[in-house]
Amino acid sequence: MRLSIEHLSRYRYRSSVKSSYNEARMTPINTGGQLVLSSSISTLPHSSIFEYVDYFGTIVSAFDIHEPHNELEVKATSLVETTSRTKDMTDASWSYLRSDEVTLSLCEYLGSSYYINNGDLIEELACELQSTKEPAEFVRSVVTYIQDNLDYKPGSTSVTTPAIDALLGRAGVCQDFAHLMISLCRSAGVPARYVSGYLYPVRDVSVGEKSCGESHAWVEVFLGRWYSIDPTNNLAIGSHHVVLGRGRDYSDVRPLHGIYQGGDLDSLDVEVSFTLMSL
Amino acid sequence: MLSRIAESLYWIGRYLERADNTARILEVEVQTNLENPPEGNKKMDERSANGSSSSSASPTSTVVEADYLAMHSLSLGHPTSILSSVISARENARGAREVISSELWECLNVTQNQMMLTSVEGGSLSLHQFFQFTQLAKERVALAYGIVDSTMIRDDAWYFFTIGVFIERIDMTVRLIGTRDLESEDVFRWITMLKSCSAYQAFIRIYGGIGMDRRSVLEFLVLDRGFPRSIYFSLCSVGAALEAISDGNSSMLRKDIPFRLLGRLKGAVEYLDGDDLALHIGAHLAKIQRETGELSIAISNRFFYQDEQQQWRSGRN
Amino acid sequence: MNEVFEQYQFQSSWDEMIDNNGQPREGCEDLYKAILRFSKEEFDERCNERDRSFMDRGVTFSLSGKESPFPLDPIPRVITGGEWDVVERGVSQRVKALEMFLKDVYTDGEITLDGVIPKSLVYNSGGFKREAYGIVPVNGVRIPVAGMDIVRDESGELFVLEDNVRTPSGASYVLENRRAMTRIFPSLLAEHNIRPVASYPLTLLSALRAQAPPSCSGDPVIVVLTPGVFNSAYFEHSFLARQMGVELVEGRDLICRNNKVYMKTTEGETRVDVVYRRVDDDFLDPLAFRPDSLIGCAGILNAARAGNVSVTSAVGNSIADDKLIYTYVPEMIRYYLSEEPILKNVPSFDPQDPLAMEYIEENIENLVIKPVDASGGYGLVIGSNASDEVLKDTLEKIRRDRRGFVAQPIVKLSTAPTKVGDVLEPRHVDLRPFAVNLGSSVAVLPGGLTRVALSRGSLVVNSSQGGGSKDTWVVDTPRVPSIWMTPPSDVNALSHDEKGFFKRERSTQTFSEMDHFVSVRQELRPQQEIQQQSSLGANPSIDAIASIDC
Repeated sequence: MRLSIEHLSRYRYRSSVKSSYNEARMTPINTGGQLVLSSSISTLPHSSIFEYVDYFGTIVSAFDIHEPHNELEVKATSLVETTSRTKDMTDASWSYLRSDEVTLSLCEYLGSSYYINNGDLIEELACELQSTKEPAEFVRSVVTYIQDNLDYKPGSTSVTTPAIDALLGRAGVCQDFAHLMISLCRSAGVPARYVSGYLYPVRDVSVGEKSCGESHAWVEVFLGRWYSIDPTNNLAIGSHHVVLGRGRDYSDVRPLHGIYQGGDLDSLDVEVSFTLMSL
Repeated sequence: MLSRIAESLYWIGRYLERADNTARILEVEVQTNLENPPEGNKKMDERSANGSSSSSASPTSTVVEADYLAMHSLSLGHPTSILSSVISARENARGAREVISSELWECLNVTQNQMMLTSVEGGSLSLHQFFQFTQLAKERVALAYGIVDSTMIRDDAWYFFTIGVFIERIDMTVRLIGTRDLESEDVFRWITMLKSCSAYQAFIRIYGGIGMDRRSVLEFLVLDRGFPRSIYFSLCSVGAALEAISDGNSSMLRKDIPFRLLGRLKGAVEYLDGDDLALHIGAHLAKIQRETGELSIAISNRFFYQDEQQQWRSGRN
Repeated sequence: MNEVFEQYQFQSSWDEMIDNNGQPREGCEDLYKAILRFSKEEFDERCNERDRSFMDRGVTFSLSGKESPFPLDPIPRVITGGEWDVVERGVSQRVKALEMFLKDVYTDGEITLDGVIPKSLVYNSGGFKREAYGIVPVNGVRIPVAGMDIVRDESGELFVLEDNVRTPSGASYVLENRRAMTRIFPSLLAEHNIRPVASYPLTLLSALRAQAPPSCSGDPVIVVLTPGVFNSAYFEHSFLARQMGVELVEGRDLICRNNKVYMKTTEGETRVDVVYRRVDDDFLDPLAFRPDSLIGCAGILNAARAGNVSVTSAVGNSIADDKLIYTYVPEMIRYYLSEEPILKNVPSFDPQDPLAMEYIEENIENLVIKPVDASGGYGLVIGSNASDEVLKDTLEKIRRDRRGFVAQPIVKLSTAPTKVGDVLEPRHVDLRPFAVNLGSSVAVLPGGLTRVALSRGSLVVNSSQGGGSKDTWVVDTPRVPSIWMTPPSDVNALSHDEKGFFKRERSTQTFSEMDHFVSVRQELRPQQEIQQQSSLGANPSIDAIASIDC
């Protein structure tokens, strides 16, 4: 499937912003089942973009703006070829996952971080779900648990909400679903990482038609190899998911991160639109 | 040079000059009161010596109270006291130590340390202590100027220092003149003032003792071409330094706001008539002080990057 | 001061000056004799002079906002040239290994792939900065200056306690101490053949120049980035900038535009090529690290990434200062250099290892517990001095965060005679040599900073914990009388001449040349000259000098 993606973020400020420094992670990467044919990022006010690849392999577009502005617009466009990449999870054994080979080489995806906190509650829950199951079974039961216990409710959490808070509040958005899943997996000793990307939700659409998409987040777990799972929609990860980057949690792959001097943020509009170019 | 450092030097100049002039102004006040004590204030010396900060006696008088002296010379809480000025000068020097000579730094350090030793119990100062203190202030500032003069390269650092000194001097000379009753024709009062800014001998040499009157004293302090404390001389010094900073590039200078403001003020002062000056002294002094303030702001804007230090906000996601 | 050593009480520690028989050690004989020669009054007078000189020169260290003079003990610490050569080689060796380690972990991490250091130790450390990934130092140098902490145990053997490859402080005190000592005890210095330290700033300067980015044509603009006057090491930042003749800037003096760094000057914005930063990683760039930092420069990391500016020491050196990573430095030396470590590590216990943890639990009163990521002695717990409550609390902390601490046996630091009141008493000392990495070689400042714990029995020497210092003499025998060090005149030439870098150079100006200048008659005001001549001619009885109106 060939998709043309446009990701537009518009920030409005109550008073003028003097200067700002930003890093956008809005460029899809070449990865299994996904080929990027072209991509570009532009801003208003204009700026020159410095591009680099970060530690996790994500493409970062850095820019700074020094003219006073009340509105900042960041537009990322790309043309991506995707294929289905769903694979059935093979069953890696717990003993394999606990071997030095895995725990050392994937240590970064087993530890804790700002959003991923393996407190007692998470650990007990992970333990409960784990019981006697094999890892793949366990992972599936985690997804089921999250689906059963967490409501998808935009606005119920913020970008800074840690996994544990979403669990206690029993609601969240895709970021919280992903963080909770990562927490539970890591707690049981299954390496897990955060994927930032886009979801193209529409099923029946004809070529050339434009439709709304969304920024999305899902999870990859390691069971001998990496498997993608979408705990928010319990969807198979296929040609409708476009990967921007992977990291330990949200903080490693923030789509747009920056600092600025000046007025309060008034509003933020994000639009993601897809155009199906060919099937 | 770094804007922040230039600003530091400018303020070292201003604070040193302020310390010196504050000492002088206080001396004038005390001296005048000692020589012409208002009725009922003969006891001031004793009271001060006893260290009692009496607010009960003679509320209407212009007597110089001991705690008033202490406040303006030694108080740390009073931002323009002599000691505060010296501390501020040193603080500015601390942030500019790579540019100033180590001798100047040492001098400011010692000055601060010595002044700190004159700590006052109960917040007041005997007249004897007071004169010792103002003498110390004047001597240490003179020493600092001497060190600057003999150790600092004549580069932008020095020019900014000079601008600071002379801007402050204009402002303080206005204040110094203002400490007198501006309309007073009492010659002795004017003599006291001339003496306080070490101008008496110079004045006598130019005007002779006979011509001493209010008009000629004002003319000397405001308009004299050669006396280094006169307002006109100070304006010229600022101008020369501004010109040097811009490497004498006159086409650039014309567009330069500080230079334009300075030129306007200098012109106005230069062609001032002595009689007019004496007649409207209050208005002229006010104008000079106001425009010097504007000049100071213009210099800050032009050279010191006056954008306020702002906290970064992280607001994206 | 014949009596000063009479009451000198020996402890179980090794003493740097006096051996167990009460005799001066090798290299200290002359110093020992000289101390005895001084009268008490004379000695006190010199000490007072030192105090004044330090305060007036503003050689200070800020302790929680208050400026206090950095206390210099008048009795120098002597190290023989022979022993020093070993230290020098050992320090260089460690710096080279640590450089290779940093390069490795910020690229492929082979040392972890080869299993020499557990991967989790590196990549789950708070000291590992992913933001530094992809920033390539210009000449490969990530550690422009290392200030290792070296201690001597009871047997007299030297150990490295910490490597300090981020922004170690103290080099300025080495220079100021030496300067003060030459003023106060000139004869003492003249009697010894001491390796000079004065060229340190120029060595550092050539190391920084070597880091100028390739895009920089001509003379690189170098700045020292300081957190500001309230930083405890501000004196040092200012001192180094002055001695190197470069600007000392604060974060607010810098601005990044389009990945280039400029400083705000009265003539506008000036491009900066090399930033010798003395600001910690977390505060360096509010975009990459803490957004609430007011002392950093937004965007400077990406400017370095783009190759438009060198930020040194490199971001992310903190991983090498992690006190658990430290325990692997001997392994690094073997792995990267195929050499045996010249200087030993103090043995360490990693609480993550169950056996070691058991040992820590049982022996905590004989151990030093350090947080892995702290410096300056903060958070340090010495088992033998701590109350039971503190020990219990510390153990609890370790159990909760096993990766967060490391335990080491308490090294009974060596002592050196230190003036306390009217007498000399043994006080514990350590040694911080400063190593400058020039890229092609490592230059080690001879001697470095000897820090001394001023209170009796204390083992904490950090200046941030109220320690003092001693001038440190690397003394060579045979003694060569009285030659003076002049810093090399051409900085560019320095980088090519690393071998003899801190070595002695003879002054080129001879006394006969100076005599010439002295003998040239000083000019007098013409009129006075005439007066003088006429008075001499006409009336020889008049004292000519008296007639000069000075």
